[in-house]
Amino acid sequence: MNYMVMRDGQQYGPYTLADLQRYVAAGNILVSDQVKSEGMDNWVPLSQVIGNIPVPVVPQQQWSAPPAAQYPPPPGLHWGIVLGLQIITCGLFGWAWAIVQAVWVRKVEPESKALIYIVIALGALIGSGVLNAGHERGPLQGLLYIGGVVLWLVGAFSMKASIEHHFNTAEPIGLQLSAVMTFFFNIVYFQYHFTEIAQAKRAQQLSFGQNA
Amino acid sequence: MKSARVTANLMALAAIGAVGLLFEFPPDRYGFYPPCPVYRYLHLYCPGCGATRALAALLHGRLAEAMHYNPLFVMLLPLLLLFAGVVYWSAVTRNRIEWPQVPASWAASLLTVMAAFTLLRNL
Repeated sequence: MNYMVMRDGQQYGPYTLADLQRYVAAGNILVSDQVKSEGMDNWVPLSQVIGNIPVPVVPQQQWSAPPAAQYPPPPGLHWGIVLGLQIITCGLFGWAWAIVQAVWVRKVEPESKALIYIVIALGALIGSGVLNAGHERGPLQGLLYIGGVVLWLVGAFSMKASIEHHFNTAEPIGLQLSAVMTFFFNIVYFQYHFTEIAQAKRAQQLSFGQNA
Repeated sequence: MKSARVTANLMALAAIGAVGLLFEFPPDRYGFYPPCPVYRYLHLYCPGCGATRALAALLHGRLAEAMHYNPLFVMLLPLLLLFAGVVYWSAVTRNRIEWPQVPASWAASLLTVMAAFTLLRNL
């Protein structure tokens, strides 16, 4: 049986009972969070579901800070603002924001190659634009443009893989990203999820600060 | 790893360089600025069309001309500058880049205004 978890109005999951047990032990999910399975009509506290299951003992020092605080929150600018600025600057803001996102991904997933792909893609696209503005349209300009677009997409999908890996291992919230949305709306689509995650992390840290 | 303070100062220098370039080489006299791809391929004005020329006109103190090129950009410019200033200030004083928390309703309003502006300027 799979369970959905709700915290601060946001739903996560689905998770198996074993997942829930593990995440509670790791501190990623609280026993006070609300859960619901397919067969349940109402949300109930997680403690009612896993009440009889032994939770592995975690050494005390691991609880000194909330797990979410171990990683910096994703860039939390609202996705609508990112979209608006991207449109009004003819895409230039989107290019800059892609670097901001890729830098954050590299912080939480150091082996991510997305930043390298994005930077090379932008270099190729800027080179293509410079040649185009100088009316030097030829094979090199076309090659730079196509290469830039392809590398941009490679960077976007590399970022997608790193984001999914991070949010299903280090900070397991069960995040799955759509390949179609990544292809067409990559930066804004990632930012849509980053906005929600950043808000949830801020709420969690505030809650921790009030309880500490 | 560069600190946020260094990154913010580099970005500020790049922005000042870009503004200086626009002041010295305004797009109505120099044709090396890339055209808007939306207008070039679809022959439609996007919300950003004319923003570069509007900024160049503002830099030369010609507000009416700037409003003619792109009134939305001119009206949003104080907010954009405030936004950039807040981010820069957080980086310089706290050595940490903090993006302002903009309410979702503001983002929705911005997108609605942009959509209406796009519709009206293409009628």
